[in-house]
Amino acid sequence: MNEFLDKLGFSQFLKSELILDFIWAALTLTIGLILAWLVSSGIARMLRRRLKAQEAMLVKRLSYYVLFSLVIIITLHQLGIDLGLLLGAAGILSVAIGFASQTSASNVISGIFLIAERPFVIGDILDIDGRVGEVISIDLLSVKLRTYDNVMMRVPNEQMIKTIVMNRTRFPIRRIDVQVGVAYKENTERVRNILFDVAEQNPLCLDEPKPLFIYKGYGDSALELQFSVWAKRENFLLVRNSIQEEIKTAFDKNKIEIPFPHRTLYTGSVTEPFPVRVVEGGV
Amino acid sequence: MNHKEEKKDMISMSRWWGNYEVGKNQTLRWQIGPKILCITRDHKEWKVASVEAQDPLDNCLVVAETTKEPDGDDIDVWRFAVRSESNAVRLVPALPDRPLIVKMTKTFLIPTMEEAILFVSIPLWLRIYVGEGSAELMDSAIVRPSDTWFGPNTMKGDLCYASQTNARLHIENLHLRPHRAIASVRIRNNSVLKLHIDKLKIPVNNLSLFASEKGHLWTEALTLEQADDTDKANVRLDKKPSHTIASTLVTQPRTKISKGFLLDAFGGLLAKKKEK
Repeated sequence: MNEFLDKLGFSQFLKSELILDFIWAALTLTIGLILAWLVSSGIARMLRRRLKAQEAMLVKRLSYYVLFSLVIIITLHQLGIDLGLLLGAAGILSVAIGFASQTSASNVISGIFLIAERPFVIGDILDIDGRVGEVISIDLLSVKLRTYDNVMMRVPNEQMIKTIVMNRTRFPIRRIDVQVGVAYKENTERVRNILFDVAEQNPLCLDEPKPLFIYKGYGDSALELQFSVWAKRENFLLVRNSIQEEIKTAFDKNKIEIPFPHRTLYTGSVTEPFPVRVVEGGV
Repeated sequence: MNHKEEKKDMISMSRWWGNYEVGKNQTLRWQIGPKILCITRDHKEWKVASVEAQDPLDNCLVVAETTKEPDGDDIDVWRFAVRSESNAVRLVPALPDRPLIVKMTKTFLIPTMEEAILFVSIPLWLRIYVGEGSAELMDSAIVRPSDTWFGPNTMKGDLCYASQTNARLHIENLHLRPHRAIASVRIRNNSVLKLHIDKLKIPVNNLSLFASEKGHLWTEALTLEQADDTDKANVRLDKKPSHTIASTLVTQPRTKISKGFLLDAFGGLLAKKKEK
């Protein structure tokens, strides 16, 4: 058997330094990868209390990739591979890949900025160019949102950095602006008191900041007013609906007219009254 | 008026809280101020019906009166399934789950090294427990107070409840109602500046409830000390209410506060600056 192996040169191979290098390299790679995983998980666990889940995950991934690269470099060095040559080749390759993946790289960098700047977190409601949705994940390439009609919306990070993003859930309270139109004949002081009473009766409307009553102007058919009330963020939708209903009920009760658009037809300086003919049984 | 006279003047009030027994298919009715509450027991099921009285200022008190099971569209009914067939029900008063903001009738000033005692009426919450294991069915406001914001701006601050009544300097000016408790707040100005108070934040979620010998509900006496070098007030809680002869603990605080707790008690959106 030994003779047969000698003939094949296997015994010489086993005794050679190359096999030892292979064994060392395999050991370095295995232990190195386990250590990289343990260290990155440890770092993430340590930072979990200080950072948000998303940031801790990013730190874990980044630290793992850095350690992984180090382990690969050491393993290659163990095998006697010239790293200079490899890095040169990798440089050329990375330029080629870089050209091909400009958008992805831009998204990754934008993603890092987004995570560092923290303009929103998972669970926030964002308004991006008129599209509203809840943030379900912030990834390296994109932010994923769930719209109110339950559609997943993916917005590239680069776009998130460039465009105006409104975070509707950043602050604990929000203002609800109700546009109200009342007939010109109405006493605005009375209207004002009725509106303030409506807000006072609704326990979900904040007592402070106080509601706002704003004259917006003289409209075509009505005095245009704005009545703004504040509510807890979570009650926003509830108050937006209930306050309009309560204003309508209060106006009806107090006989305050909410006018519909009026048009006065004028056909010149000598306009005669328009003739009106009543037809019996007409359609 | 001294404390003894204040005690003498307070009218006795029946207690609506405590342990009751509800027979099978029986309905008991309580009216605590403007809130009407009916509790019905079925087979392994409890029903709690709640109706608002027509007059929100109703001071009526009806305790465990046998009635018919309520029926109607304007009645909110909650059904609870339980394991046991126990007939025991317990009504417990509780304090709000957020701090309370109390407005002053008029802004008043407390000069340096002076103090004032204010009496505040606090809206009560009602907890309902059933069975031997005291399973909690509800913990809700008898009359829900309005939400309000207390903080330096609309970005920073706390969501609180707004008190519908003003703070009083004399207890006889305070309307005693079955659905409200009383708190005495001593404000001490230890700073070198006059203290403007037009509203006050009371950490009611950190206070306990006590029943006085006359059936009124009180919180322990509270002292807010305005220190010189800070905008916050140091909160000190006594062990018992200060204006009752004998009182028994009814409800523990929702969250306990540690010694040396600091509270932004006089701040808010329209907080006036202190002056010499």
